[in-house]
Amino acid sequence: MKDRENKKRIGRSYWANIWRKFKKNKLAIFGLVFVFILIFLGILAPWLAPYPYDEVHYEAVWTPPNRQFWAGTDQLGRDIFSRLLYSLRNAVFVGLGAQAFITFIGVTVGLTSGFYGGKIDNILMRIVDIIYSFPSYLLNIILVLVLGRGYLSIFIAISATGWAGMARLVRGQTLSVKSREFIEAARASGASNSRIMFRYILPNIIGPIIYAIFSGIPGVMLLESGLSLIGLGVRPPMPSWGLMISEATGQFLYNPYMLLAPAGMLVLTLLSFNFVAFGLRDALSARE
Amino acid sequence: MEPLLNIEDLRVYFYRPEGVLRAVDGLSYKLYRGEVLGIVGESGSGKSVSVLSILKLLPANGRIESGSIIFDGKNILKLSKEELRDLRGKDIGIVFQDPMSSLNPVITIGQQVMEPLLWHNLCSKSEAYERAKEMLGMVGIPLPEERMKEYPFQFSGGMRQRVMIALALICRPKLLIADEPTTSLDVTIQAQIIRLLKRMKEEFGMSVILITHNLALTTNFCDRLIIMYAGNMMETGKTKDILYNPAHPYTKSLLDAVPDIEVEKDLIPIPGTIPSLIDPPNGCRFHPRCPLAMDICKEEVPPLFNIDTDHYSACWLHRRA
Repeated sequence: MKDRENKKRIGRSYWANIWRKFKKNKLAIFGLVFVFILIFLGILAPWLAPYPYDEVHYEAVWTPPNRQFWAGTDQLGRDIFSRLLYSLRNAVFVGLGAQAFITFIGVTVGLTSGFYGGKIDNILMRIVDIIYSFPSYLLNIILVLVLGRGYLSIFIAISATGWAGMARLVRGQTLSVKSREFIEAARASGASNSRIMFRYILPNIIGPIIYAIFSGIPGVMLLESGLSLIGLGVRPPMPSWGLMISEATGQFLYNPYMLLAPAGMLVLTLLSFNFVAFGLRDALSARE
Repeated sequence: MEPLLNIEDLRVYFYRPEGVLRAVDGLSYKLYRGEVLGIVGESGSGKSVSVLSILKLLPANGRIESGSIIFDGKNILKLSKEELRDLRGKDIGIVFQDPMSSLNPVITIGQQVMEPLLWHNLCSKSEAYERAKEMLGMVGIPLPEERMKEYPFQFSGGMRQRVMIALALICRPKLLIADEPTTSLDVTIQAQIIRLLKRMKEEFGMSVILITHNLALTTNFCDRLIIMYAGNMMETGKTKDILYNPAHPYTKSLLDAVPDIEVEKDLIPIPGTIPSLIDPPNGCRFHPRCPLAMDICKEEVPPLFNIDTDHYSACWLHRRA
């Protein structure tokens, strides 16, 4: 009996505990499954889409959804379903890519700032304050205009303004972990600064970071759609939900499916990421 | 014989907004190889600070103002950061007061015990694993191989302190510092931990500094004691001499405040509180609370008077007229 108990205890690590709590949240699991499906669909869009995103069907302009065009066609007779898939691909690409940039910069700056403190902390945090107080959407637009349209400039534009929040979060978490006793104990057994940062502090603050990553992705996707909406997103004819919505606004009363399809996809995607983020927050905040 | 550790006139000050706090004010002592030294004092008497300075692990506002710390022939205060890091964990191991918060909660016990060996490049990973397993067994952790896969939250307080001791000893240090290792544990566990420290000392033959505010813990373990008060050394000598033949009024009042299970007696608390270290009293720092205070105690700091072989006391009462 005792042996069995022992076996059960072993291997119930930090992550196993979080997963156990996460599993209880049905909405979060639903969101996670959906996120995986979305990422999968996004990656495989070129093979799954029934038509190329820029193939024009002049004989079938403004066709409501039917068996041939599952989500109807737009003003140029392009298949909306195919365009939704390609938009998803762009959204996932921009969402994950820009969020990776943001996480990298934010964690580096926040960890350095919180760990070393003093002058370094002061300088880095003033930079963060400046970025925070600057109207970020305006800066995004200016950056895209200066750098030219394209994935890379969208990544740079979004992460240039987005990392400040992550840096603040990581700095705060670092400060609270830094003063805990096991950091001093590690120092006393000869750990170097970088070991303490990456082996002792980072793993202890990974929970809030993961939550921030997941809750940040929808925001990034929304920003990309926002840029596309005013014609600064990915370059047409490459589709984006924002671009599709902007094209559909004039047609809304006659062909509502043109607006509802991309808007619906956008909402579903953002919701599922948010559900995962909320589930993670609850699972991560319940600490042992 | 060359002492392993020689501290001379150590002064550690903390810079606070209210003023300069003199946590340790002119402390000197020697520690020989294989010796167990107990440093006893109330909270805030500077006992922890004096040993944390040996590893230079003071908080940011603390500074070693003057003095020298010679460990194993090296002046610690002149070492570079890298040399210092090499010393920590390898030549000097330390066990902290609170085992509940001294272990990294997200790394397994096994890895944590192995790490000092790997950081100091003392052996290969597989050898480190074997040594960690052996060490955990030696400090009395049953089924060490299985327990190595577990995380700190799966260990009780006493077990965690055993892990901390294994961690401090894994590199076979020359000096083990135990900073109130039993304060946050049950009385029965306290005895176990002290017994374990004693056994480990006999096994590895290192020197030990035991910091405590509990005189009872020192009796069977320490060879020599230092009684500290308000950053100063009050009395030092062999444990037996201090416990059975205390010279300093402060030591006497400390002993009066210790309960004895065999003799029914009234415990006599020491009146007053420990003085402010920012604005300490003139002369002997104990004089405001001392029942035997004389005029000279208020004016001049007493030097250490020799009472007996290796037995010194800082009190004007011993001055031979």
